[in-house]
Amino acid sequence: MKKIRNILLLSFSLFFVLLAVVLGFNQYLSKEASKTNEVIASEITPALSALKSINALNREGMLLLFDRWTDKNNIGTSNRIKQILEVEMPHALNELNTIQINSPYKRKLIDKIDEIISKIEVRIQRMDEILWVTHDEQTILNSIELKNIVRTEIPLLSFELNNTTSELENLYATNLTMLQSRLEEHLKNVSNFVLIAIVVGSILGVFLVLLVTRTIVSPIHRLIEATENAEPGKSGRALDIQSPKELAELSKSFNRMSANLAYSYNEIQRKNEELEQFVYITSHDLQEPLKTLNTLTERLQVKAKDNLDTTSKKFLEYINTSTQRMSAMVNGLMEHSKLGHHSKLGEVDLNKVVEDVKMDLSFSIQQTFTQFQSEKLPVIKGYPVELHLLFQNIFSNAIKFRSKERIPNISISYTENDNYYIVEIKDNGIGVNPKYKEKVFAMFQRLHGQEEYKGTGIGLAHCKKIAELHRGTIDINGEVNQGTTISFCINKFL
Amino acid sequence: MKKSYYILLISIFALLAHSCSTEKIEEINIAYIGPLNGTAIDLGIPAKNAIALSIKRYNANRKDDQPKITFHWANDNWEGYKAVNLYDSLNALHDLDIVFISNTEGTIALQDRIAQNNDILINPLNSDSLLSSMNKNTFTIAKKTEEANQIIGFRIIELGLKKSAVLYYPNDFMRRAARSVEEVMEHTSYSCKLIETEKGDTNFIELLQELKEEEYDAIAFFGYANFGYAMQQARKLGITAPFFGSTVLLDTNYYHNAQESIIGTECPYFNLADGNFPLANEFISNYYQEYNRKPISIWPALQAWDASEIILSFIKTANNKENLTDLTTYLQHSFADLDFYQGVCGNISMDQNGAAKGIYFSLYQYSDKNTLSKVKR
Repeated sequence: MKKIRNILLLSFSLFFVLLAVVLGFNQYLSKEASKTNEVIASEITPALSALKSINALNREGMLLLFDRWTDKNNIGTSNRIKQILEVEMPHALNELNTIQINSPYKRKLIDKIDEIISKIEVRIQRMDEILWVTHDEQTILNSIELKNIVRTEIPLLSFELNNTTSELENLYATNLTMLQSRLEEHLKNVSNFVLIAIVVGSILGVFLVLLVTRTIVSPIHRLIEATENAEPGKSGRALDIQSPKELAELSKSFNRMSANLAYSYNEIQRKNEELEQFVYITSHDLQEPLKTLNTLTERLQVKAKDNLDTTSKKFLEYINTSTQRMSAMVNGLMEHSKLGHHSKLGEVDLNKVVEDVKMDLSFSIQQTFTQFQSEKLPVIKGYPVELHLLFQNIFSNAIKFRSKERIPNISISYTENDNYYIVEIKDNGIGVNPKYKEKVFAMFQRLHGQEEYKGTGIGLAHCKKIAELHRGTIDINGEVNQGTTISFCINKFL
Repeated sequence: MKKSYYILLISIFALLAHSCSTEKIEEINIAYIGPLNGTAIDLGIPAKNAIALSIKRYNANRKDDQPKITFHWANDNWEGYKAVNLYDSLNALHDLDIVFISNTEGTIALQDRIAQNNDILINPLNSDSLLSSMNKNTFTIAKKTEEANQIIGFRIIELGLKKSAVLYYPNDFMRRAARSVEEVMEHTSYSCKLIETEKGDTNFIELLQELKEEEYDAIAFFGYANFGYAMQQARKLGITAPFFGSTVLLDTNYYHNAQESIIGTECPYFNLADGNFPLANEFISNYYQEYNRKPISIWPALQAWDASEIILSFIKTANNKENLTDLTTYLQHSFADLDFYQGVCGNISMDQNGAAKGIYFSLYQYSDKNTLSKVKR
């Protein structure tokens, strides 16, 4: 069975082997190029430079030689010849001699150059000796020995020196050309090799990407798809991933988890239904004795009106009020349990919902001069009846808990993100203490006494349930006497 | 037993490591001994200034790993016998490493001291057959005395001046210079009489009268400024023979003593164009910038500059050398390996005797007050 670890290891190994081969071969080619360059820099270039100097000095020396003979008192000529023979020619020769030369023939030519220069020096020394003792111009010009030195011996030696240096120069020039072309070839090889390595690397890279995609990414996509398609309470089609091993194990775990979730979901649903059924039945059944109790206390109030003392009358009144309140609470409980039942999802225009609710509450709106500001709201997918109730509860609360100091004002705004529609309803009422933020959504929770504000304390609990029915949440914010903001969100993908 | 064995082993390694590590040279003391007033001031001041400038620029541009150089100097009044005492006192104060000295006798006198203290001695003015045979610590980066002065001999022959006299100052350099003129004429029909004068002589009338009577065709004055008196006295005696001189005519006292009688005197000299003109010209500009005047005589400054620059080029890399034992040995090897140096005097190399080759003088004529012009033939 394939393993992700093995695939990645194989990919990296292949990559590193290729890299090592490329680097190794490149190193080899660079070393060869460097060797060639070293020969050029340490032997050929200095040799050619020294030979060029010797040739130039040889030519200059020949020109000066005739001047020296014909004008022996010319100190400039004499000094220049001395400079050449004492400093510059020995230096050039020394340069040539210090180069490491492996070819015996080249060494022979260099020895020959050395020998010729020594011979020239001997001739010039002899010439100086003659000039040292000969001062008559005519005698100097007629001296056979001087003529021989100046016209024959030194020119011949100079010619030979020129030929020898030229031969050596040609040898080095040929070597240079050869080495340069070798260097060029090395560089070309390096370039070609790098190109081939890039092509092979790219192909291998594409292959590895495909391999990884096929073996890793594709099963992951199937897993994502299965997760997205999972429906509440349904375990869905089992994933069948055989390789790589790690993803095969993950898919098995996913299948197990999916089945467990479906089972748990169904179990919770069943329990919820049972509970709601219980609440409904209980509240429905409680209505009858409450109604009876209510009827009997009313009749008792009427019939025994004259026989009862004031305290008994008061007690009967309390019983009656409590019974009515209890009836209202049982009604509320029943409605709460019914929320979402028998409702069907459909398109709901929230603008229309707001208008309908305003119509329903028109009496109290007119009575209290309540003002509304509303942005344009979206058309959403939801439960129409419940959404109507949601807005109604919020608006009712805003009117009920209005401030005595202000004309009630309710403003409705709306935003949305990728997943939710978010509606915000803000009033300028008596506000809410932030510390009761959580409490207000609990069932039958009231922040004020009955005498102050009538009600059962179930309205916001309804709202919370309706928001959750739409797979959203509800929140309340505000400060005492600074108005209240209720915001709720509704899932876009119901 | 085992513990002491390890300690011994570690000690040997530490000793070996210590012996392998080379000590870096932090500071070097260089001194110049030469004539800084009186006689031959034209030789002393330019040389000392050139060396000082060279060292100043070195110190200003040196890197952290290059030794710092301190420069000292002393005035020998152009007296060779003073060299030993001056060297001893400078050495006692500053522990000298390198000494530049102009005087030939002084160079000879310092031989034992230099060898004993293992210092380096450099003569940046003169090189001759005697100076070339000094000990291995002595080097000359200068013209060859004989070669420079032979020019006068050849010139006298060229001009057909059959009978010449050379009056010379009684020191080794001038004696050697006069002798080199005589040598040129040895195998010819030309005669050359060498006459040694006394130190401090200012009255040469008697001697000149003799030369006049013997109808000498040329008179050479190989000596210092006092010969200016001789020139003037000769002309006053009616001697019309051409005058020749040595390399020191630009001492301002020469003209002061000779006045117009010095005009026309020919002598060996070395000017900017005789060396590497662009480098020499740049050096003179720097010299002028530093001292606000040009050297009295160019060639001592040029030679001293090259001598100093050569040795500083060695010092620059001294601390980069592996196995540097001591500075003197290192400098000896560096001189021995120097086969080409492009200096202000031209291309220079060192021979096996520690003498420079490549500085060649030309023939000049005293054309105006304190001015020499090249003789055009």
